[in-house]
Amino acid sequence: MKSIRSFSITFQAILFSFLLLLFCNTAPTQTIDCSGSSKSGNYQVYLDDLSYANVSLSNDGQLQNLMKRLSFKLASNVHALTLESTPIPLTVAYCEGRKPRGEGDFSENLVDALDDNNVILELWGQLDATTQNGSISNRKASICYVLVPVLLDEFKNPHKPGLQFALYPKDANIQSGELINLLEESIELEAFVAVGIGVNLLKNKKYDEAMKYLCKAQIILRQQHTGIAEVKQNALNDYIKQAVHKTVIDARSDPNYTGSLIDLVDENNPCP
Amino acid sequence: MKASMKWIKVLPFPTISGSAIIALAAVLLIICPIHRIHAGQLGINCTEPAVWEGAAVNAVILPYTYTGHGQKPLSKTAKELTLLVQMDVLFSMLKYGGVGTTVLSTREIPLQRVREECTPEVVTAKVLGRIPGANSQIKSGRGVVILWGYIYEEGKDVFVQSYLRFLRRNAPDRIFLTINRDMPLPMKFTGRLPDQAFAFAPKRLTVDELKEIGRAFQQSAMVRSHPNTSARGERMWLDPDLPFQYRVMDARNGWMKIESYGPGPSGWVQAQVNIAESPLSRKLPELCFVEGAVGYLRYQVHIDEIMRLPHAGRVVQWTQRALSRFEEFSQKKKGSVPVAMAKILSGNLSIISANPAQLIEAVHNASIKYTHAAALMPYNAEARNLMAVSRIYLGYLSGWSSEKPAVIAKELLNTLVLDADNDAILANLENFYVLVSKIPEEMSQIQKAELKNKLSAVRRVRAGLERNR
Repeated sequence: MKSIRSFSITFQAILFSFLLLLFCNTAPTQTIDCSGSSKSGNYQVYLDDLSYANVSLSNDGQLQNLMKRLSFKLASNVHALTLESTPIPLTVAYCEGRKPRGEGDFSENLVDALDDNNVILELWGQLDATTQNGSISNRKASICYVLVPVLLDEFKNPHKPGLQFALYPKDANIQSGELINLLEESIELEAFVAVGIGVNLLKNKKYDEAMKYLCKAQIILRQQHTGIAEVKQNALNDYIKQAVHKTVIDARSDPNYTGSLIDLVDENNPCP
Repeated sequence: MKASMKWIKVLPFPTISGSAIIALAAVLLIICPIHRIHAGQLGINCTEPAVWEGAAVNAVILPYTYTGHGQKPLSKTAKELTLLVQMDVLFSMLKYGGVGTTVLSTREIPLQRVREECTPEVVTAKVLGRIPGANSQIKSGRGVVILWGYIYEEGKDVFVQSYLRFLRRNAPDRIFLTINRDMPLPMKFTGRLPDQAFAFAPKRLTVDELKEIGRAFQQSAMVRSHPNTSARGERMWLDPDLPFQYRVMDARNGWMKIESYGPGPSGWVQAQVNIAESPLSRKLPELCFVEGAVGYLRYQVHIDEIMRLPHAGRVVQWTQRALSRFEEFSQKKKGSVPVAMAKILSGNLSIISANPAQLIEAVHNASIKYTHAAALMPYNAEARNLMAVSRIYLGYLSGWSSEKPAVIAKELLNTLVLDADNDAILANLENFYVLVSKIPEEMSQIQKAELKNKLSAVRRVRAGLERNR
């Protein structure tokens, strides 16, 4: 028995080492191949595939319908984001076959590569349900978001309070499953994209524009219930607040900056 | 104290992107009796879009299609929906006069070219002359409304998501409210439209409802031998699988004479004076917005004297009614950009159409609408700026009894944070500080020293922006 356990531990260790090696070898060149991905420096939103939490759910007709509805809703919502006038145009790339499982799928190298490609947000959906005695109930859809510039910032500044991973599930019960009620008017999407663009602009010392997007995100998240777990939303709010403050401080200490943030803005609470 | 406003245009056109499938199914031109435009049939497809160059405003409708990067042939329902939307827009526009509509098609165009060239972004750039490829372009100063959307079908349900962009070529929106107009130092405050492209709330229809709407439309859209309802009539040809091609030969008193290029009848059809009569617009309120946006642009082209309207007052009424119907049929939730935009268009139209004697009342009404709009999108600097500008105007004319300058100053600074290098807002702030510096401190409730510091800061920022341009 002892030898079996020992073998099992050894095997796990070898497997782990192998995976780690594999991961380390591939990490520096990690990329995601997405249809419509832009190389022209546009801001990008990556829309991944929707998936089932387990294969047995894929035969459920109601979940199949929910998947199609969500797919429509996500695609039409991200399209709406591209209409806003942004400093750099925002485009959507469809990442066929890509189904991240969660935080573990976002290494620093990958997030760095995504950020280099101006990817602001990556999102995907997962459908789940309760299976008991062969019957399926409590059907749900979760939408997961990764705010790439925020996540990268976190990797680079681990001492920072705030988000550990910008991953937000949102539930939509199919029983009350009016498509129209899912992700209503993409308000959270709008806020997430605004945060991503704001952080990206701050990194590039575009203080005025960074302030615009960070304040927009702050105002939306302050006023709207997004369906994100409260603890996550609070963490994001705190993160944005700090980014706003940093924008003012950085602008004021930048000798090349002569704009409104020097004398016309309240340093402590700038956003209306 | 004298005040006035006028309408001008500037502002660069924002970029859009995204995909949609488009193709020519029908081309129609609606003409006004005093601007007789005899347009021939346009041989166009979505890769070479065309508009009616002689029209004051064009509506370009892209067929409703499926989402995503992959495309599949449109179902009969999708084609019927597009056709009904087109007919609704067409008939609601007719009354304005001098407007045209085009529906583009992807028919017989390779899928890859459709994906690359038939997006709203590319079509818009082409018809505005930013990139080559259009058969004809929107002329400078004239307006265009582009409507597109996605559908999703599930059983007998059809989910519809529409998007809209509207603008005038080389003539973006600005309003000026001028204080002391006849004095040596008139002071001008500027407001601009927020983004002119956005998504509407998704809507659900059923296949049966669509069929019913189609039947109702065919009942009402009779092609008659003479322009009166008692004349002999034939049903309008509506087949989503056949190109719908008519040319408008004449228009008078709310009727248009169409000549068919296909199997449909030729003759007189009656325009829809009130879009609320349309059952489709109750289901898709965005059609009311389209009607309002076309009227809004049409009126601007009129006041800029590019194409005058013989019935400008009625155009204002129709436009206001369409915008108000849109609000009525829409859900008013926080973050509803289209509803906020409807309020802003309505407020702007009140101001630009007011004669001098009505101007204060018009600005007062507009101010209420701007305030509601700013509450719906509090992160939008332009919406807040319009609200602030109207309050400055009214505050000044009331001797600052309606609102204290300190409150307005705070609002302007809040607005500036949301667009810190927006020179229009900075200019408003500078003018405002100059204006307030002439009144006693107890009235303004802003300390003179603070006022002086802020004014210097604003001027410094503006000078810096000027240097960096």
